[in-house]
Amino acid sequence: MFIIRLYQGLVFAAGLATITSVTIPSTLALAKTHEVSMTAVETEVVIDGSGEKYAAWTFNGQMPGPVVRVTEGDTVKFTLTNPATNKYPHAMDFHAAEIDFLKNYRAINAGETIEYTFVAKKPGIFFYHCGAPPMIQHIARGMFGAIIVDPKNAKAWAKADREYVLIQSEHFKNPEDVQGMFDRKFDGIMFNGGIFKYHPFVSGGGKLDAKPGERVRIYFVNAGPNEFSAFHPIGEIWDNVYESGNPANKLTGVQTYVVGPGSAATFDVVVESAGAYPLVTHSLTGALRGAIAVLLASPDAKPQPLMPMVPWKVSVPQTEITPVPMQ
Amino acid sequence: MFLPISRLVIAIPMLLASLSSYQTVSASSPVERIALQFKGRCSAQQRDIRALPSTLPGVLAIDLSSVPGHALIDIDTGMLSPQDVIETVRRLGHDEDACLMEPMQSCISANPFGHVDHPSATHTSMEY
Repeated sequence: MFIIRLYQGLVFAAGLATITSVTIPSTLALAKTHEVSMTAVETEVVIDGSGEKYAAWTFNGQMPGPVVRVTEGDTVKFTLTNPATNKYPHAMDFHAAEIDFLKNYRAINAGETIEYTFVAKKPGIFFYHCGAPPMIQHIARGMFGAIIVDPKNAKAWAKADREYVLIQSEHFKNPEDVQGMFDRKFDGIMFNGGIFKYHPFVSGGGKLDAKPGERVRIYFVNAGPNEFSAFHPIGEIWDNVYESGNPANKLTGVQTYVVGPGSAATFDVVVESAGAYPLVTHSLTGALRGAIAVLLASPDAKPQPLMPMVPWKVSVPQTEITPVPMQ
Repeated sequence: MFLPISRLVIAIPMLLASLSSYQTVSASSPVERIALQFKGRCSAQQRDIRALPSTLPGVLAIDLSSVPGHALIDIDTGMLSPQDVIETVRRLGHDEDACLMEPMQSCISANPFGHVDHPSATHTSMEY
């Protein structure tokens, strides 16, 4: 009778994904079970401000896939569905899990479903991705995302005032050119599935908002499939960097931090004054081909979701005409 | 990485205060965004720029709020070039006015080849 069941159904893009949390029992209030369901969707997604579409393979029809968020010690009951309408096998590999690869991460054919369960034992920010062969193509085409495992002890690190998830990945214009992917012939670098998605000086681009003095926490994942990221805040210094997002792995006063493909880190920055602070990979061939996200600090900054502009719905004209402030 | 910043001193008469409106454009039209940075007291100039969609064909939209101190101008490059916009704005100006505007270029300019072929980097009509 002390069992409390708390169902929190969260419907993601196109109603394809659900995450249900079950809390049991009340005496172990922090132990939750999350039922996470995703669907492999082979579809087109918008990848730049002109509205250009890309023949992606996705989780739930969006690139990146939905953010999964649990707390250290929670159980994740995961289900992947590969609809019969798909053409290719797909799979799911959660880096937050410590379970048998052969049994759980195998590819399933169209029309099949796979389920497995894991306990998120270690806090952090972790990559998830499709592992079906050729894995380099499945990741390059968009089958990746992030799972946040919040520390059980919320006081393990400073409380963030604002949070974003940024996932870096490479863009290959020809999604069928697997050899080009092996040869690292990428055409652009994306944050959250878009070229210059958060660059307001680029047509169709947006921004990441913050207020001066806020602690902004960036959960950063490098999906790759091949390139390293040298993540740097122009005009700022990372106040703290947490390798793999684990509060125990704390660095202080970091200018640039390298995140390899398949890895992740959490970055805290407190912007001291209003202005623009571009977050880039300082590997400039990547930054200048898409991997720039402008953090705009303004006293009137509004709340934004963890991954703004996902999916990216570009319209023409791309910007709204906004009223001129009267002085 | 920092490119030389070209400066364009412009002053715009306070005559174009009508409401802005969208122009229609096909989905395939090439759209480019110009970012102009304001320095000084530029409220009159901002009002004039806001009116550009109704006065200059090919100007699709104006955003004066997303980035403080900047105008983001979306244009149909099939109808006019970034330089056309800058020239038009310059022609509206009065030399004696003190509002300074400059095309925004920096180390985060999006064009990977920067000054080599970016249209707004043709400085022939600008003051330094």
